[in-house]
Formats: sequence, structure tokens, C-alpha cells
Amino acid sequence: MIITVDNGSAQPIGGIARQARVSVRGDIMTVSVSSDEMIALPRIGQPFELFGATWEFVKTTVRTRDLVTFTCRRIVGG
Amino acid sequence: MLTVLLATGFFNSDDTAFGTPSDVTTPASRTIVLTQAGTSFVAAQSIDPSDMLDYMIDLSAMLTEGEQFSTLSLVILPSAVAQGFTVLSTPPYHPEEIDNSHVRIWVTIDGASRSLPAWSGQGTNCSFELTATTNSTPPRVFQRTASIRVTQR
Repeated sequence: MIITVDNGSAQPIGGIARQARVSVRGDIMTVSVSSDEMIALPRIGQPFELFGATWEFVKTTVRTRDLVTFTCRRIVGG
Repeated sequence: MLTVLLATGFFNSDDTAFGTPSDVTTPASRTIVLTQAGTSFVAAQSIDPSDMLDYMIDLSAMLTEGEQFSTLSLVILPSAVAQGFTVLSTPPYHPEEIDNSHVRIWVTIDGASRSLPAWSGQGTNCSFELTATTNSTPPRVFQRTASIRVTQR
């Protein structure tokens, strides 16, 4: 039996995170960043490139001392 | 021989590369039994966010006599990814095929996510999608979503 595991992937996000754990489902991407990897909090509508597509920040879903989680929407490409 | 395909690349292994099989016995409370007709598959035993525990996925009810699974894909749903839910994929915690219808996985929560408010009280279900293909001709494909509850204890 071939077993595949997809835990999302670790990706740098320019201007936002040196390393983030991301998972894409359709046009929605969920991003999880530990605080020590965060460069700057994203702003609503802020576009960035990842996986050959352009994404914009939608909302922060979790924010603690150690972690920020937010969702993004694909606006172009991919 | 167990062959494991990781999201980050392909690793064809033999028994030497992955060492000896684990000698743990996963209790029934941490066994998720997938069925043809069921719609909700939640492990009876929850996990503390700081635990690293084995869970068994029982696929036997999905098969007809003589049929086997040839592939099994586990995709963590985005909400669970965001909460740090992780199915471990490196030895000795890699997914392990126990027989043709049972697979043992090890799960944990990322260190940065272990104190999330979501784990307090009743906790939160973390879900993953299982897609399995059988060796029938033509192959049958099953997809089910299973969950493990994460609760601070």
C-alpha cells in the first residue's frame, strides 16, 4: 500500500513570514505562522505571490502570543 | 515492504531504511473504523495537544473479499493545519501499514499551537481526509473524512 501524508507545506511569504505552514483548498489558503517567523502582520487586501498565484489577506482567525493564523483568497492565477 | 510517499517527495524504502516495525498496540479507543455507509468518523479517545499518540485506521469494512487497498492518501484539512494538527511522517513515527486494511498513524500538535484556546473545554475536532484506492479492476476509490478531538487535560 502506498501511503501519502499532506500536512500542508512550509513556505516563506514575502513581507509577511519567513516560514509559514500553508494549506490550500480551492481558492482559499490557510496560513499559520509562529511568532518568531512573522515579519509583519498582513493587512486586509494585501496581495502576495505564492505557488504562481496572487493571494490577498482576508482575515486573522487565530492570534496568540506564539501563533498567528489567517486565511487568504486567490485573486489571480494558480 | 512498506512504501511511503511523503508530500515533500518520494521515498521508496525497504525494511532497513525504516527500521523494525513499531511494537505498540493501539487500543480500540484510538481506532477509527471507516465504513461504507457511515458519515461521521471520530476517534473515541481525544488527544492532549502536547501528546504524540498512535491512532489506527481500520479500512476493512470498505473492502470486498479478496480486495486490497493499493493507495491511501491523508490530507489534513486547512482548519486543522492552521491549528497545528500534524500526522507525523518520518521514522519511527511514519504511517505504518499493519496489514492490507489497517494503517497506524501518529499525530501531534505543533509546539506553537499547543496552548490555543480551541483546546480548552470540550476541545476541537481536527479532521483529515482519507482517500483510498483498491486493487480491483477497475479500482474503486473511497473518500472519507475522519476526526480526532484535541482537548487540554
